[in-house]
Amino acid sequence: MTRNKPHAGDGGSPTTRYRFYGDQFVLDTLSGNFYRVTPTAGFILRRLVAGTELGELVNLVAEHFKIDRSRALRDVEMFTSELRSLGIIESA
Amino acid sequence: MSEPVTIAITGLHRGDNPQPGASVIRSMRRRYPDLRVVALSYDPLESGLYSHNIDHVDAIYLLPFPMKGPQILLDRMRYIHGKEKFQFLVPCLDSELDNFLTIYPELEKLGITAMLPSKAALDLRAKENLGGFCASHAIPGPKTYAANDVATLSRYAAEIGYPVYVKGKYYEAFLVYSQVDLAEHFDAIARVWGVPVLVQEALFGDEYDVVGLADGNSEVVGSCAIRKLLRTSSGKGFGGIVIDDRKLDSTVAQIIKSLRWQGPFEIEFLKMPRRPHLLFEINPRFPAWVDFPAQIGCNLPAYLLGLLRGEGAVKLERCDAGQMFIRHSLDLVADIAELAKLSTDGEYVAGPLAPKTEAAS
Repeated sequence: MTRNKPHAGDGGSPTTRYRFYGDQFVLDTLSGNFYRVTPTAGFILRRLVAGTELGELVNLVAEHFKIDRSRALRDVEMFTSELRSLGIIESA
Repeated sequence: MSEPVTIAITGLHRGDNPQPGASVIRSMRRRYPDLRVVALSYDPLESGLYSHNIDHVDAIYLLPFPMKGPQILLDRMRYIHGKEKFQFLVPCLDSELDNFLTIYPELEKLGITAMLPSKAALDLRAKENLGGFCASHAIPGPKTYAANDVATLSRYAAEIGYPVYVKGKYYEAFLVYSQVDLAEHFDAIARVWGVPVLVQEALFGDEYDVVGLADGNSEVVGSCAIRKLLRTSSGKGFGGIVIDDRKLDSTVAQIIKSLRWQGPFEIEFLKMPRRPHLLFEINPRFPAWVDFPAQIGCNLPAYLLGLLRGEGAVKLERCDAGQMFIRHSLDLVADIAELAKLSTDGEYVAGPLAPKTEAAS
């Protein structure tokens, strides 16, 4: 399974690189880009930035949103794929 | 009684392509509220001449256009200095720097101090030489060529592939899609700015801009990096957000060291996804947004004035990522009498309206 980790860039750790303003707005301090995200995406991104492993993240999403694990896995993978294409996370 | 601290400054127009002078005054007066300012202007309609706020000027003198050459400028500067006794000079326009560098030894004899780059450094970063500078220092940059005639420029454009940017050596850039467009814009640019005219690979991505100040040892004493948030139709930043990119800071420090630069600078980069920052331009002056970092702890113009006055260094804060600026245009009230006096006499000392200074911050 691909392990995703947030891109630290050169401004420090991932936890300092991304700043959250509520559940739906995040600033990438390295690039200066900012994003409006859905509450679900915000939930996932916060945990990715905090270093949560993908497997654990899927469990957290399933539990938090009360959905089955396979759907949580699909949602997380789709979202992380989008983050990867934006350069927000890298594959390791 | 000692002379008041007086600077002479250029670049006072803040139109849709704003010049930096008014921002530099604003920043300096944040620390030196009693600063006296002599505006050196090329046009009686430069908007900053009519401000009665914190960025107001105390006297205005028209200068000959840079194309008139250094001797005429020196004669005029001697006249102005004889009347105003200013101690410091802060040029804020690219096109005038060659002349100021040429006459600087004479200005020093008059007791005028400025912090200017060397002629060699100024030439190395010139648009027509930037490609060579990038290549010799392994700094990524867009393909750029310079030519003195349209046929040669067309050959370069064909080699790069359309669309391309056609640029003047000091100002102006047009995106062109064909040889016909290119020829048209070559003529327009050459007429105003002379040759060479440049052709540059058209790349599209996020634009980043770094303002800074280098001391006499080419050390960056302070800087602020932003991503442009809003751009005018001519690509000028109308809003920006501070970023925190230590790698970009290192690149800037490397560029400044390589150039042996001293004084203010603005370095522009373009960033495409998964590619390094591309060096686009190095401007030998503060940008028009320099008063933004000055308001969040990094007052580079005031630091420059401190250096020129031989004062001890004041700590410059690192600008916090996420701080942003958005430019806001205002209407200034003026009286035609001011314009009339300036147009006919070429100078204007203290306005009929008493300056109403904004509270310094």
